[in-house]
Amino acid sequence: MVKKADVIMLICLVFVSLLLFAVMLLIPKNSGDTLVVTVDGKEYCRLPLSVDTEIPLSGNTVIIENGYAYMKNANCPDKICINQGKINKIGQTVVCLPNSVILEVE
Amino acid sequence: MAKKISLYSLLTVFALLVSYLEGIAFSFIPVPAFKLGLANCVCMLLFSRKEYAAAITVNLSRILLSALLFGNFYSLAFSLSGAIFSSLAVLLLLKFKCFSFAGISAAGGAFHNFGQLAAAALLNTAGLLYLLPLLFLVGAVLGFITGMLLEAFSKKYGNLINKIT
Ligand SMILES: [Zn+2]
Repeated sequence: MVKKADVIMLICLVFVSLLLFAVMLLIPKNSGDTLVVTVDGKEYCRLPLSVDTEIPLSGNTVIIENGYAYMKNANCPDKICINQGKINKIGQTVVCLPNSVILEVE
Repeated sequence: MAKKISLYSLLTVFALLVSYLEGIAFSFIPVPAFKLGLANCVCMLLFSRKEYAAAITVNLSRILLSALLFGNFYSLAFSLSGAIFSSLAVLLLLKFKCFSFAGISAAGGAFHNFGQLAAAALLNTAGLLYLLPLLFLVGAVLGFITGMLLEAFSKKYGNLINKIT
């Protein structure tokens, strides 16, 4: 069934992803100070993470609270965006693919 | 010809249904693109039988329909890019005779997710790139499992598949 070459392939792919993890770890991650909200590929707004606020979008509600941003409500079918949790480090994102909303810390 | 069209449509609907159900089944996991990719089995199986026109027709129809029904321009771009990368990986590995579907599908899964993130990076959402290591790993492992299932399936029902294609 599973051949030797298959196992070697899987090991190689896992190794590549570990290498990618290592590369990502080497890039320093600092806490960001700005949340950039992108809707339909266009920047919608950028807000300081230091000020608690609520951002109502057509299908989603974004919250900034205690220096973290997260998706509080969403009408998308999968709710993946809500489960992605709170973000505050540079480069971290929360994505709602169905509604095409992206939150990114800068 | 009519037989072919009805077979392609049937396979497309099947793939569409499978990918939709899978999307619901795995939606509790907070990782985008966490899917077994069972719908791609149809494509992979057709590729391995050198039915290139069928594979591309079925896969493309599924992606377009899925975007029309449940998605938008972005999900369409992500799936298309993922499909292109994974198809290239699958076609390349099929040339080597040493792999079963497990190894081929592992690479297909990893490069599917790579392709999705490549599209994301091009569409001005480069912040998503930090997901690359995780999605590459998830794609490889889940692809491997999917491939094992497909291997078992095609062993068991090989005769049936020969009959209908
Ligand atoms: Zn969402």
